[in-house]
Amino acid sequence: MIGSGRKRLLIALLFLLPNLAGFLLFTAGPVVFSLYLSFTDTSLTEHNRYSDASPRWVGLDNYARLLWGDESVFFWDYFWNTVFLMIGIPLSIFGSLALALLLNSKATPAKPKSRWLLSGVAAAFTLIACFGTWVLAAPDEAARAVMSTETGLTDLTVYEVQTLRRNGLTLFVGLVGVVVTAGLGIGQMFFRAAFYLPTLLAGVAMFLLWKTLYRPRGGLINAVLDPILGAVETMVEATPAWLWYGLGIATAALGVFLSVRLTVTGVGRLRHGDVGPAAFGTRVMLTLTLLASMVGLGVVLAQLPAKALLPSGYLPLTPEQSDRALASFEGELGGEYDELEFTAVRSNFERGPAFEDLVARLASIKSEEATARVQRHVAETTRRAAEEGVLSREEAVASVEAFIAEFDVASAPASQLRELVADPDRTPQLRVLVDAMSVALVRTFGERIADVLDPLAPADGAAFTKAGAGRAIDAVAEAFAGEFEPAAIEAVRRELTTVAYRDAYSQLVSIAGEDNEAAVAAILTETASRDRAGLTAGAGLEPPEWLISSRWAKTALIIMGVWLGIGGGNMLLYLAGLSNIAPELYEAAAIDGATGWQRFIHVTWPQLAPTTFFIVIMSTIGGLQGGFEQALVMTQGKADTIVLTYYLYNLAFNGNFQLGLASAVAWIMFAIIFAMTAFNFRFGSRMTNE
Amino acid sequence: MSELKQPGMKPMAETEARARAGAVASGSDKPTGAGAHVSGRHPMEAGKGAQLGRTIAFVGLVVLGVMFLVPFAFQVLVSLSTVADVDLLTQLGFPPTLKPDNYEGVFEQVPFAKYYFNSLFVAGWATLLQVITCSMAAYAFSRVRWVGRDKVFLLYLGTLMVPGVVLMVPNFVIILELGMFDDYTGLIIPAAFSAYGTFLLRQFMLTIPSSLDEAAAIDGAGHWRIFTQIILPLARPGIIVLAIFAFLFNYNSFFWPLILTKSENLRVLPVGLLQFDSTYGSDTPKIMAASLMSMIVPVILFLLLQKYLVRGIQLGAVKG
Repeated sequence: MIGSGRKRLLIALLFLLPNLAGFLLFTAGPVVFSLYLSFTDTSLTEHNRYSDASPRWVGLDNYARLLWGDESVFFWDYFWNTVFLMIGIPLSIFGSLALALLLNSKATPAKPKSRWLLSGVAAAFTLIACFGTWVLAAPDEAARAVMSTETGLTDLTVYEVQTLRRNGLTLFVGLVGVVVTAGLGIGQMFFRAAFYLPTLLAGVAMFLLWKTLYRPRGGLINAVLDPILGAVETMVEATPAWLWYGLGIATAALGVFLSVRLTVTGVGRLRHGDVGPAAFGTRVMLTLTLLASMVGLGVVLAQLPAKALLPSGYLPLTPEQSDRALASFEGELGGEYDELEFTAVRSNFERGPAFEDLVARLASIKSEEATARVQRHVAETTRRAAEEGVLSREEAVASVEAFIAEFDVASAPASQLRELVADPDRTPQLRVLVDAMSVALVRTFGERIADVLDPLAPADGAAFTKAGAGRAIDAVAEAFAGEFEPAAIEAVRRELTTVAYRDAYSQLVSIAGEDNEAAVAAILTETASRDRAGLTAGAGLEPPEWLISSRWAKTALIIMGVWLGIGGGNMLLYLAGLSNIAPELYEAAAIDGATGWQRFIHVTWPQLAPTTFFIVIMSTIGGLQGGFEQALVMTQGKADTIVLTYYLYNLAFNGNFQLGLASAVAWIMFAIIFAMTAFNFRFGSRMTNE
Repeated sequence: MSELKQPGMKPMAETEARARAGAVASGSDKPTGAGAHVSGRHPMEAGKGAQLGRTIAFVGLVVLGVMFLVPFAFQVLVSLSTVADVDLLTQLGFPPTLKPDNYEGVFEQVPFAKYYFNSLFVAGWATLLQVITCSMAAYAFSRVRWVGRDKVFLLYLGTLMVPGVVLMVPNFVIILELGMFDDYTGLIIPAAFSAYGTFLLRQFMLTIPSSLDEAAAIDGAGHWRIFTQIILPLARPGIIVLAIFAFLFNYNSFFWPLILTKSENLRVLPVGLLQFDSTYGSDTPKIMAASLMSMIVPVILFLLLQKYLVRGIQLGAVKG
């Protein structure tokens, strides 16, 4: 060592100075300062350089206000929100372990030669698969002129829709192919990078991406969930309800049985001294988790028939049902809501379609059928396929006249048709003719419907009531018996004469207040379920509205958190931990004839205990402080997603600058973190030593 | 790759070794650490079973890899759509009209280039200063023996356990008092010091054999020369690790710039993105375009320096 003791101290201080100054000013000093602040009523709006007032020492007042005083309602609410979000931590840790094990399973070829060979094959195969998808999913040329009838896509032709789907599918196939190729060629490192990517990018940009993924409509997540829930629903509808009750009860019973067995063997081992009390504690916790999840799954399974068949989603309430619901709403919650708003909701519930809308909607059912009939007619009269090509004027006129006679076309559309084919400036094209004839047919049909509806329409041009529209639709269905697809007319009836259960629910809750949410749900469910035998499809399992609904927003944040964190630092730590396990242990286990699972339980898991211990501590510390950015970006604190850090932000920076109170929040969080860490150390370090 | 503790091959049961004949790691033939074999197969029943297990594991990896990449693919597609088509995207699988000018639009609606510059500027300076202060302090803690060294170091370690939220409020007041509110210095200076970085580099420097600097001292080198010419070059991997961490942390940092800046030309990317979202929230394609652009820098950094980052996480944490 160079120099004397004093000189060394001087040199060390010189080296340390820049860092130490910053450390004292921005880390060590603030800790003390913050503690001081938490005992004062410091508020920037009152105590700043422009005012003479100085903060008062209030002792433990801030803490009392938070824990049981006037702020305690908020504090505990946000505290439990934070705890709820921490449910994601164990999921994320187990996920990280699973990913690390998967990465470590030598699934990718290691020899360069086989690597290049295999990835070359995969690349070639990817090209072939993309090309194959492109060819096999090619759009139907014949559908170029046919407009799509799918919801939301009516602006596009079927051909366009198919082209776009082909593109999307090819893209997806290509993505999978790239993953396979890169996975074979680059190996473990590629997958590790892919898993780490979300953690690397975690931040506002990533939360904005997830906000888009969670959109109830047009979001990727519900687009994936929708068909799955639909399949489950069909399955539930097709099977007797008792099957699901039975399955639910069986699952729950199995959970109870397994838990009891685990506990009994655990107690036995504890008594024989095979395991220590700490390991027994871990076992108890794992057992409880198993019990809770299996019983939970059982309850979900047993409720499936009720959920799938009950109006949980867009199931409509008929006019009678909504009347009844409004009546009982008024009876049960009378006086608790705003009368004026209620009147608005009531008229909202009762208002049906305008006369023209009803006619147009009923007539439009006919448009597809009309096109088909017209095409048949044109094919017969001109002896040509009704898609492309040009007719001679004589042919066109003859075809139109035959058409008018055959289908009894009303006078106005008929004269338009005649004008079209007589126009000397235009060549009569088959496709145009078919379109015009279809329109004429629908309009003729519309006039006949209007004739039937006219006597039923409300006076002075007012809109129908929902009940009135129902009667009108009945009259039309009767007058045109056999001409409508019953399913199509049912769809129109449902669309025009009913209130969606969910709309009714949200409107009533909005005027009755969230406190009465349960009461509103009870009223609606009872009203609707009385007649549920008469109501069929369109109900049931709907994907949640994630970030908008108070019930699902926190779960949405948890799912996102798991996705973000599962492949991050924890996975890398587990990978390092796995590579540090002495191979001799596995060899010994293999000689003892241990199976894969036994090797995991008796070698891998205990050997990873220090890593797990470290991860658990760091994750709980992080989890208690986390959730602020997510909530601020994705929900702006709505939908019951405010966590403690968010609360601190609101108190200190978002408006009222109550720095004293905010500091107290921070110190309570510190105390909780400290207690949890101390507990973990006491409990965990014993566990890892066993 | 060999740096990454890629589990090397270790012949276990002979049959199994044969089964993996094609799987001998080339880059890492050191016999350290065999992987955990948890694919559920018995070592004695290798052969086809082992191959099957590996294939299943590979399929699992591919499925998960796709799951992790699909959201980004979706993001790209949304960023190329028109506003009207966003809702239809999941029904169609591909945007009906590709609209690449969303990317241009971001720059027209907000000073996005300025946000980008601010982020790089703040993160760059903070990283540079942090590396300097931390490496010097780490030298003092690892290479110089002085009275009270361990006590001061313990103080450093102790503050690592203080949750960040505790520091938010007092630091805000301090910055306010120092007149650094709504200024670049307020974003850079507090980030120029780090107890964690000091700790990380100290651990690194402790692994450098002390015979090296003793020899230099005998040759007449002073502390500054030993520091700059021997320790710093040898601690390069550690410094790179710290630099990546510091840069990524400050690039992603959100809370601090949010409460500390008011003027628009000081906004960093995360704050700017949030503002963009609350102002033009319905223009999802542009928001996706903006967020995608802000993700480019970390991705490039990661691809270039992946092995340092991975090792840094594993090293810094396991020893902590």
